[in-house]
Amino acid sequence: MRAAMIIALALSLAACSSSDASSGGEPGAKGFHPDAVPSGASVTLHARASGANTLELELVGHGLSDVYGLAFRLKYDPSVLAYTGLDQGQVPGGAGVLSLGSAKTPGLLVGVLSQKGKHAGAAADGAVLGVVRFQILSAHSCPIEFVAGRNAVVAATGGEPVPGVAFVGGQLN
Amino acid sequence: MVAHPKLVSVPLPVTPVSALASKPWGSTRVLAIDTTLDLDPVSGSLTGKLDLQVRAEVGSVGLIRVLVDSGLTVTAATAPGNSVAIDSQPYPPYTYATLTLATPLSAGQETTISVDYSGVLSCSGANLGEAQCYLGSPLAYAMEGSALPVVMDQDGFGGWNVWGAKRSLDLRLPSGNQAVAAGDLMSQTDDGTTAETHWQIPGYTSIGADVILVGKLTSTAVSGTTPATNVVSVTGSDQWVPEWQGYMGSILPFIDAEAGKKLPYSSLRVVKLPLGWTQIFRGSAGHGLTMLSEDYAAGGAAYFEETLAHENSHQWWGVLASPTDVLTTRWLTEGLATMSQIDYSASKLPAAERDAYLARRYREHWLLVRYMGDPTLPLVVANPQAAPTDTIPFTIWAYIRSSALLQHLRVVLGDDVFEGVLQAWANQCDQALCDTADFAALVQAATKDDMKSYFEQWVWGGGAVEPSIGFSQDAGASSVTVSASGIDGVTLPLELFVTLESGDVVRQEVVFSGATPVTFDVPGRVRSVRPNPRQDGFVWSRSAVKGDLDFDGEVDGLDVIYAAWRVGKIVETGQPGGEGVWSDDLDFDPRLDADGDGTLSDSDLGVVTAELGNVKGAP
Repeated sequence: MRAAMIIALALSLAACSSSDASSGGEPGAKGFHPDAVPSGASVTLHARASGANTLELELVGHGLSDVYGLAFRLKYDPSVLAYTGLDQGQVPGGAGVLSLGSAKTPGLLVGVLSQKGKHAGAAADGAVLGVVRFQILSAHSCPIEFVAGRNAVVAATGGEPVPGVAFVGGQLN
Repeated sequence: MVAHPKLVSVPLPVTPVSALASKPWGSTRVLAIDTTLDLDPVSGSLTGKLDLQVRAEVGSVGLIRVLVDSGLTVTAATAPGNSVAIDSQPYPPYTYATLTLATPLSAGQETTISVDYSGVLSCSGANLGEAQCYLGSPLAYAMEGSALPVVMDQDGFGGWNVWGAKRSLDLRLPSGNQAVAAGDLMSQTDDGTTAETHWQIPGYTSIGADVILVGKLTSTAVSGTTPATNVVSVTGSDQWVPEWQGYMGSILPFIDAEAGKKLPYSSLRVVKLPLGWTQIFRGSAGHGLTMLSEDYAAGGAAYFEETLAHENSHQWWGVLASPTDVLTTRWLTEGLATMSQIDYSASKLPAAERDAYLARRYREHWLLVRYMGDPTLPLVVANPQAAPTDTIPFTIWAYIRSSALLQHLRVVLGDDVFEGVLQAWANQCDQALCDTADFAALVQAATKDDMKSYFEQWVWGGGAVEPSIGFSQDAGASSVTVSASGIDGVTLPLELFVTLESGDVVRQEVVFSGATPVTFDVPGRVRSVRPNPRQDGFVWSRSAVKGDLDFDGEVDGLDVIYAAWRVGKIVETGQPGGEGVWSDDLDFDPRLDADGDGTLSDSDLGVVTAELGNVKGAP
């Protein structure tokens, strides 16, 4: 019985980690299930291959141009997940990119990925902007959602937030 | 920055007489200054005659002084029924002549002192970086203190038309020369030997420039303006003339609207001084005359036009409305002219864009005063010796800090009310005695708020204003409490921008009394509270939360990116692609400069990133 549970758990985690790191993840029957992606510019979450007790979510940009930085807040159940790190992705890319995350408030990741100084922006249509890493603490489900109104893609030109970008989270099963 | 009307500094008498209450002159009133000049603008050979009509106001008046170019000599001085002794001393770049009446005038008595002077203009030395005169062809010029005398009375008052004397000029030049002078042109002839023009300026107290420009000049009419306006340029140097015709077609209605009435001149001449004249005579304004060097086109067409608007706005702010406290302040002359030039540029934008444009322009004022000026200086200093004398500190005090306060005052009063104050000021001060106290009275009359502390703190007093703004709102509450720390003892009126979670922005007028918070009703959950950024030029506000750059009381990725985007920026004038009057990088935010060194560096960014994640409550 116990072996069957272990096998079932491994299968469910394997189903969440079938993504290609360069092009965004695909939803599995178990694991992380992203919400529906709207048309137009957006940032979405996609799970990628990770260890048995870890969850790695790619922040993927769609229909974006002139990207300088990404500011976001992700909320999650702190009894299910513990934030462990934030890595830069393809965009913004290059040396010197800031990738900072803070989980001072339990269940809330305040993150940022950004160029520094005078730097050209880049297009991101299917490109990974960053990777959020969590440790899985329990097998429970929880939503992983962007906090409404607290996220932005910032353009290199003018250094201002790009209007109209949707931020789409999902559900961890 | 363009030149301002110059004042002459000369030694004051040992025991100056106090001015009469509410009048800027003392024992002596100069009623009329009539000048006749025969001038060769190439050689500088000059014969002049000056008639000074003077009246003793108080006590005994025994002498008057005139200053002319050091190449000239005062050869004779007479007064009816009196004799006049001449004592000339060299006072480079002037000849300083004291004319003493054998029989002093007693109170109420008048006389006309006639003075002959002649010689060859030396045009040597400089006052405030500009020569008093310049000889040659195709353009020569002469200010007061060169071919035109500067008059000083026995109390040391003078150097400008402090008494409101009527002035006239009969100018005779070799035939073929044209002349432009401050004043209304009354007549002009050229008989083939002599070109003669006669100019008059009505009697009113004014620091308006008294200047003559002579040479080979062409006048081009600006259509559809009142008063009739001509662009004057050196013959053959017609670049920018068509543009100036267009600019004046916009500038005149703009300054009319500011003042609430049209200029009272019979005509207005706008002179384009040649390239290279920045080091000779950059520009100024006098009765019916505006001058600006073509050198200012180097900043681009928009900058050139805006600077022309500045000089023309001096027709109101300095020539016609000329506060008598000019020796201790420039805030209602250069301050208003600088404010006007920025407003002129803003007026060209759609109305919805003007507030943001003004906020951005006044960021320069914060930068210049914070990093290159002195915010402790009152805008009206206690005595003339307390005013800055070096060019950059003077300019920042007179032009930048002054206009920053005026912009703050405008936000405090509201645009419409401030517009009414300006029009009332132009009307009340037009060719009349007035000073800062009169302006303060107009401001007070326009609002129910007590403005006494406002003027005491920042007009007659000084000091940087750097409030740290914080806010709190209980869950579900319909009010918000806002605090401003770091302003102990200061009464600070502000307009706040309160952004709600819905995205709506509510504007709220408040007055902070030191650290006492203010509470007011709001129609929803508050996301951020910040002062109207149009006030940033004078009120250097920041969030009370360290690392918070968007005044939402939190430090998140948007604050980090805001800081990161600005790493590498510096405070420096004349930057390629710079904006504002001195081509600054207006994206430099002093709030980020943690170490105050005028450079936004990784260490300044580190102050923000160290606070990342300091947000309110649970998601």
